[in-house]
Amino acid sequence: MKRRGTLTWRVLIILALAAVLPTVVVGVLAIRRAQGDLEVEVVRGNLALVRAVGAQLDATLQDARRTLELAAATWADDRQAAALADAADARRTARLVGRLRRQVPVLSALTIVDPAGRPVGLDPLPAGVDTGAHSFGGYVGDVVRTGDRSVVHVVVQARSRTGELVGAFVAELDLGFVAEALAAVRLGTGALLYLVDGAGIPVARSDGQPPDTTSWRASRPAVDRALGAAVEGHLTARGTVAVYRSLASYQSLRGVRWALVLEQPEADAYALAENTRKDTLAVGAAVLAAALILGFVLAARLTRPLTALAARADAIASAEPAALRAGDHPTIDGPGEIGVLAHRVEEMAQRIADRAELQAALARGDRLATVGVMSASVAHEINNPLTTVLGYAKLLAEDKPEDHPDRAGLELIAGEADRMKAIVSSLLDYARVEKGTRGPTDVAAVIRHVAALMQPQLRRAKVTLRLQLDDALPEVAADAHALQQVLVNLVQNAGQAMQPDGGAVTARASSGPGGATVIVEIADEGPGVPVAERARVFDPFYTTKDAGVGTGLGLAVCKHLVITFGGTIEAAEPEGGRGAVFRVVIPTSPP
Amino acid sequence: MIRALLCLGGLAAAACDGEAAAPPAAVRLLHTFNPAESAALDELIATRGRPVTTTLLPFARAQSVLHEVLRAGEDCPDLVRIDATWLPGLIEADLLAPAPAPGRGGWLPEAEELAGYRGARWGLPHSLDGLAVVYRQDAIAEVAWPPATLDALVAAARALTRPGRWGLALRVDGYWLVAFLRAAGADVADGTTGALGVDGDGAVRAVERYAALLGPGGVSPPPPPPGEEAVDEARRFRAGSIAALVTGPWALPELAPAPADSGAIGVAPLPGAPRGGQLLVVPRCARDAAAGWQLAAELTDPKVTAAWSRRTGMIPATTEGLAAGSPLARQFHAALATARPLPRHPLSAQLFDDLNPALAAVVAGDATAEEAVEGLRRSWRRLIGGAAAVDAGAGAGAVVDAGAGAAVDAGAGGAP
Repeated sequence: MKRRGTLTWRVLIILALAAVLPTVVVGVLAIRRAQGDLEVEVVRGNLALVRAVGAQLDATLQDARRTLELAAATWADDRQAAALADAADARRTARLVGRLRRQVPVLSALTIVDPAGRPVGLDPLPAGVDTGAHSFGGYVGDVVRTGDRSVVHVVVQARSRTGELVGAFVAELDLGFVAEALAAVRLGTGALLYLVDGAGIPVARSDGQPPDTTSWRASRPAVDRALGAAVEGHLTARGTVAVYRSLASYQSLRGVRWALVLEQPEADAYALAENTRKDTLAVGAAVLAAALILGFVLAARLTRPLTALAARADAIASAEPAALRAGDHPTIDGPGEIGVLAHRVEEMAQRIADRAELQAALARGDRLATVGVMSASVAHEINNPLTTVLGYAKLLAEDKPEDHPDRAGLELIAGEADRMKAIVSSLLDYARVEKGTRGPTDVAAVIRHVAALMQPQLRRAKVTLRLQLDDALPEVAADAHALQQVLVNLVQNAGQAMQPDGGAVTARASSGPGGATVIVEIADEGPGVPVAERARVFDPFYTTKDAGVGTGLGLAVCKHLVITFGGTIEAAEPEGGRGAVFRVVIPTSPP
Repeated sequence: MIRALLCLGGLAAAACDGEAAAPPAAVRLLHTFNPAESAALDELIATRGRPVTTTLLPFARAQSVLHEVLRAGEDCPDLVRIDATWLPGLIEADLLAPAPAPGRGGWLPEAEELAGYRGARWGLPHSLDGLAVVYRQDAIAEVAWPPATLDALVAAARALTRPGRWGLALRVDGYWLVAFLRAAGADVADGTTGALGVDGDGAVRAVERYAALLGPGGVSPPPPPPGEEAVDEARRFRAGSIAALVTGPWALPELAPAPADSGAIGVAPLPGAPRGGQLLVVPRCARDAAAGWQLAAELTDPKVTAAWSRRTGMIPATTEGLAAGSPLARQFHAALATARPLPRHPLSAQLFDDLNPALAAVVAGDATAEEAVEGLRRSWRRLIGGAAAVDAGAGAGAVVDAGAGAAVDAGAGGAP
């Protein structure tokens, strides 16, 4: 469980490092860039608005100024041509002023002065207004507040066609149109657009509030900056974004010290940026969460077969035989390489199982070989004196008359010596390393020969031997004599297993899968071999027969011989659960 | 917290006082800087310890407003940048404080001259200017260059004029006309001597000749709408549709916007050209004159003016500043070697109120040169008379109020 978790979390960490972190970094950078771009756009948009309003004011004042200039030039030419004032001049001037009032709606008063600065009829010259010296022909003056009105004086020098100064027009323009223009502007939330004069006193404001009478210099950084700047700019201070433009940059307003300022709280100005940032973060967080969940699911799915493989590897490492066979475990499926890996692990487990069995067999074989060699040595050493004992016992018995009291004892010695020789002979058979031949051997022929050989003995024991041999059995790679010895042993055991009542023994031979082997089975109708004993019946000196009946080496010798020609022998499960079945699998001889 | 710690440690007596030390009041600067100069100024004051409050005086009416402000005394600045031609008027109106003893040498002689009046020193020179001929190097190979006289210049301009290119751009501006007046034996009126300057035939010939150079048949393109001269000239010059133009150093950044462009243009003298400059002066009404002079010293520091020179094209007023300034500005300064200043009199600043319309009338064809010059003579006679009255202590108060100072764009040559 711990390993599984570790793997899953590692996959998640890799996902985070490889995908989530770059996504977060890129996302943050994108947000910052978008925020910067939006802030630039806010400033740009507000500046464009200020420029537009400035241009609108400029257009109104420029119209008024040009009209005044035309009128002044006309008046100057007429007056010069008329050789200064006379009665006609006064009438012409009155008509001109009348036309001016109609053509310039914002005109509220007009004064005309001669070159000496004396008013030529009409309104008196307002106090504090110079009449155009040092102004390149005219100017727009500072804002003057009269009651609740704000007005401005526009001075235009009246020069004749030769450029000579004849007088000056001083017009008073009502700035109510400025307040109306500002109020008509569609501004963003919380924004305030206002016009300040050269002293920093607001002239008009977009919120309709009456203009203040005190200067906003020093209290509003944007006003300070606007009145100190030559053209336009922006600044952010005290939580407010401000853009400004000096109106001196407009042609008609050259000389004025007015400035348009648009202020907006940062929270309102950058609301779009903030909303975009929040939305982006929310969407990003959702996407990241989804990605992590999906990543977790994918990681779990990816690691599940790996976990199963790990468990399988643990089982294989435990070397338990049951763990080694694929059939004892659920199949491990996985996508792509993991599936291939699972398949390879199963193949590896199968090979390990085969190798374990082989190693066990080899170990057992070694053990048996050692026992066999030792037994053979002992048997060989015993066999000669035993032959002597048997020979002298028989000679002594033959020399004694039938009723001699020693004769029975001597015959008993000879009988036991005979039995000992049989044991010794079996031991020598087991230990003998038969190189022999490896066929090809006709299995059916060997079985028929064994049947003929065993027929008398089986008949005495009331045992019937039935043969079930497939046609066209392939030849096997086994020595014929060794195979005959194995089959004799098995048939003999089968017959003995049904004593004293006897029964049927069946010898079957069939071709194995793919024709690679031939399977021979010897089945009887005796008590059978218990499942728990089936593995042990091939051990040397293991027997279920009565004492003195068997040596316990028959099946061990059989297995030994079968192994020598590359086959297998086992006590198999009988059909119908009755009797015993010994199955011998012998490889076929190569063609 | 920091104050308390300082007090406990006895490190700062001021920190232990009941009241914190008040921050220094901002120095108040009135100026007429153009946008490029304003930007440079903003950067300078942003790095300065003591704050500076700046107020722009639009050049078109700066002199009148300045006189009003200084007379009123309210909201009085601590330092003002002015055109050198305004200085006599301001001094005669007793609105300026004399400059302290110079703490730093190295001023160019002509700059020292601009800052002095009637034997006293009234300000720190900030920059020099005047008119010269700025030309495209690739256009003048075919003519004798630089021209030694105005006649040679006009001849070269005619040779350089061809379809698609004007030889020499001129403005409908009396300041530009000064060189032609002088070449014809005339000049602007001189308040110091009472000379009218335009009373001879030379003035008529000069105006006639000048007007003939503008538009078809001349060497200069037709005049653009008023106020658009600088933009129009820069556009045409960069496009190669004018080979040369008469202008001031303030136009250099627009004519050669990239440093690489500097090698493509040159500056030649305009024979008989006027010259002038900009000064930093402290008003008598200044609340903190010492701070004003301190700021003036910083603004005229050679390193600062050299940097401004490279950025705005201005000609520094010190040897060191000029040496480290823009190469084109140095060329311009060399071209001004033979230029002459306008008469040092309050009258000089307002001569152009009448000269400009008179010249414009001739260029537009509304008047003959004789008619325009005759009207000019009448106007300037009135001016000289008024000035004489002012000199005699008669005061002022008319339309052409000499006592109110002058507003002629002499130094900046009509730059916005």
